[in-house]
Amino acid sequence: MTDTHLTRASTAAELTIATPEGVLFRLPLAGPASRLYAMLLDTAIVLGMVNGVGLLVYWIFSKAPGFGFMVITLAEFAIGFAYSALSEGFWNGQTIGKRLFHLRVIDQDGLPLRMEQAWVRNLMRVFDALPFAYLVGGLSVLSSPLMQRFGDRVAGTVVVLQTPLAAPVEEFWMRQKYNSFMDYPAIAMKLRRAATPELATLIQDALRRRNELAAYARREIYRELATYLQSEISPFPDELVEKLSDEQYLINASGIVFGEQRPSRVRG
Amino acid sequence: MFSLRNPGQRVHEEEQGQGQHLDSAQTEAAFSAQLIRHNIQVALLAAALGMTFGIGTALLLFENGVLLGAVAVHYTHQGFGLFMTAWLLPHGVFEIPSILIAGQAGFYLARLLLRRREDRNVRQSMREWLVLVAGLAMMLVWAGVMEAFVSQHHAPVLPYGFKVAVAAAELVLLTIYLLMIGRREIGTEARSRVPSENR
Repeated sequence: MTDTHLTRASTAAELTIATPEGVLFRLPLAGPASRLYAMLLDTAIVLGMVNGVGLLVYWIFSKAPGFGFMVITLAEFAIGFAYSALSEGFWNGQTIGKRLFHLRVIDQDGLPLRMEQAWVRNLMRVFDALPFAYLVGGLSVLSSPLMQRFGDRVAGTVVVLQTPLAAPVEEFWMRQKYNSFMDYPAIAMKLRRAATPELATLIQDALRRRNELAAYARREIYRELATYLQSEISPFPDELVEKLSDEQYLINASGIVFGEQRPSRVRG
Repeated sequence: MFSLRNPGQRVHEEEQGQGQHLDSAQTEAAFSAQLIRHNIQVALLAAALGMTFGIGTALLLFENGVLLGAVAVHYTHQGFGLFMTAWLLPHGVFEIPSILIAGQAGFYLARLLLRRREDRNVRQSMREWLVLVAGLAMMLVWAGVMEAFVSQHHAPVLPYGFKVAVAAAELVLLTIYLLMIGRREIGTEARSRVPSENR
């Protein structure tokens, strides 16, 4: 489990959102480096689009180069501003570059980005890019606790890192009809809440790779995982746990974590 | 960096050399695109420089205003007032208000920043900034087209009286538009503002 803590600690800054219900969300913020890479990639894409449009326009306007030049100049200008703004606005805060580098622009209260915020933060680039090479914007990111450039501050947005997380596939352990952990909804809910994406993936991978592991390694890994869960996260009563193998413990646990049914107090 | 040329010589060049630097609709189209791009860049910069609490916006407006004023005075003193009016106004009646609107957007942003402790809804208010920027960009497209296709033609091709009349007509239309758009905005704003201020 130390691994999970290490990956957590590697992101310096986090956006913490407290909801009125008392739930805390923590989102890791994106640093200047990954944002720079994403921006360079997006710039390359824009240049490609502009040149593509340029070739097409030159072909269409081959008899009227002056009008062709007009169309290209204006298209270039419009694409330069609209590409980021429209793709962030329509694509939930992501451009192609941001998607590849696992970045997303969101409202600083954790809400999805609105179209006007996308336009404001991208039009403000003319200020952040001053005097050259995004010096103003870069200094703003470094001096801001939320790593916002000036465009972000004005639009009220932040750029967050999104750890890619594969959607859970339906696996054999999710098909079991009766899950004895459901009999203890309070503890099960605790497990469901406390499971970080990393931990959930770890349990799922351990179960999925059941037949790839040598028998002794499997026993060892399942024992460690089950012991960790039992002692650190979800202490189910001993009389239940004693009857379960480590593997069954993990199957039940992932049923709780990935299951459609939420353990609820009301039922039963 | 900038020395004022002799206006008489320039007027002579402009009136005589019509066929030289802008010989066709082709060149005018290309010229208008460059004008549109440059003007929108400058205007957007003025609006974004509100981030410097308006100082940058003020400097930018001041520089542009001084240059325009200096040229105007220089030409008028030498008796080329009509030529200059006809040269600048067909596009100027849209270009000058739009840079003023850009300045307004810049100062609006500056005010939001200065008062952000009291009114913490900078995010919501930036919508108005965006409306100003979008509107002035549209105006500058028209100004760029007029500057390339109309303003650069002088008598005897286009009589000065005609050019000034065109400018006056544009000014009337623009004024009517701005008055009407303002009235409608106030109406919707008054309705939508009431709940949001109670947050």
